[in-house]
Amino acid sequence: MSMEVAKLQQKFLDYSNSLFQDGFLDDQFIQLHMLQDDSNPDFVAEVVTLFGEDSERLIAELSAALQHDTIDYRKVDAYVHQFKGSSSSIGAQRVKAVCSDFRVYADAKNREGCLQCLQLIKQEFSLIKHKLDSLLKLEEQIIAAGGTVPFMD
Amino acid sequence: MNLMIDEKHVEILIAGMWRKWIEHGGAVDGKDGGRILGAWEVDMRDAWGYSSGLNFPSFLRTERHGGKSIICPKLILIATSMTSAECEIAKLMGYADTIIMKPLRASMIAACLQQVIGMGDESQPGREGTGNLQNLLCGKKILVVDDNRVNRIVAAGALKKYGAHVECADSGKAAIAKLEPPHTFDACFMDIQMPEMDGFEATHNIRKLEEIAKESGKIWHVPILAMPADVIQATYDECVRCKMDGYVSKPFEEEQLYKAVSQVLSRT
Repeated sequence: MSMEVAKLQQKFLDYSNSLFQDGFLDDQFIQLHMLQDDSNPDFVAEVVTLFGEDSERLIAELSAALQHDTIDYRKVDAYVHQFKGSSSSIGAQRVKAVCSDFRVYADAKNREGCLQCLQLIKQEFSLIKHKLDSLLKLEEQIIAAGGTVPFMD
Repeated sequence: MNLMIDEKHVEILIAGMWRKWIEHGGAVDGKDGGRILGAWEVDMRDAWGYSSGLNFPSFLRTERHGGKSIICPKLILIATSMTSAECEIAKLMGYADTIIMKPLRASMIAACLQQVIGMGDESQPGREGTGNLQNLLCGKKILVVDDNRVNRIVAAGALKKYGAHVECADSGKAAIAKLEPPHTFDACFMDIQMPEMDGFEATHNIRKLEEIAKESGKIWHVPILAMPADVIQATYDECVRCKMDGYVSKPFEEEQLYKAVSQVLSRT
């Protein structure tokens, strides 16, 4: 096994471990990797891409919904529910946590709380999107160098 | 060819044409207490001739052992696609142990072998669940209903892992169109919270259609499992009231999935 592959693999393990330790990702992200195989080699990348697209759309919808003088909290709740669902399916733990708080504020028709959560969700999504892209890039590099992606713990 | 599983050597003789693993096409002698496995590829579309994989078990008995009953090695059938009926027939022909769907996945082979040989870490009860989910879901046609496409894809991926054929619908209305009798689905996983028509209402409508279909003489009841995002008591009660058959929260966790599915689908 070449030095390059070994180095990349270690980098990958260090990075992914830190993401789990800092709570960005949970076990569901590992489960997604179990669904990827030779017949479905890009499964994780596909899911991450879809998650990115859906999240950006939902953030835009939420921003619009929260700009009105009279907020339709039912609509806000529906969007957040969607966001919570997809972040849960991908293992984006911190985004999911913000969604839970967001729903509480929407339920209570608390404008300030909702606006704060919107800001937080934008931040958390931006963070996880960047980290997932970096992680997937590392996986690509490992495979391109002829190695296999080590199993995350 | 040897395969290391849990630090034990298992010799696998692969017969038949199979992309990467070609050994020889011939009968398999059991040795080492029956540890040898025979895996025979079958193409269900071929006529059920002498060389068909389906006939292999009886071929083994008659040709090599003069019709005497033998301790047969564990037999695993590998197929591209099979209906539940075909799985039943395969069992009758002697593939009583298990069936794996192609394309083969290393994780599925490992789980299948562990189940069949009876090895594996006893302290991991989830492992057994994997093998059993394979038997429950293999070849079954499942409808996944969820308005969230990330959820759809992840749920479908999880079910495909165990050999199910999965179709998706993105609304209650689309689900009703697919599940109006007659249809060929074995089960449906239904999201609860969806815009326009939620999972409860969709299920209610499907049951109404099944009632109407009864008048033509056939009983229809497609098992519908709810996929609530949060499992709370009110949801459970509603599931029962709307004549759903169970629920499993998402994202799927293996043991929960097995518990829910085993109650509505029988082993093939």
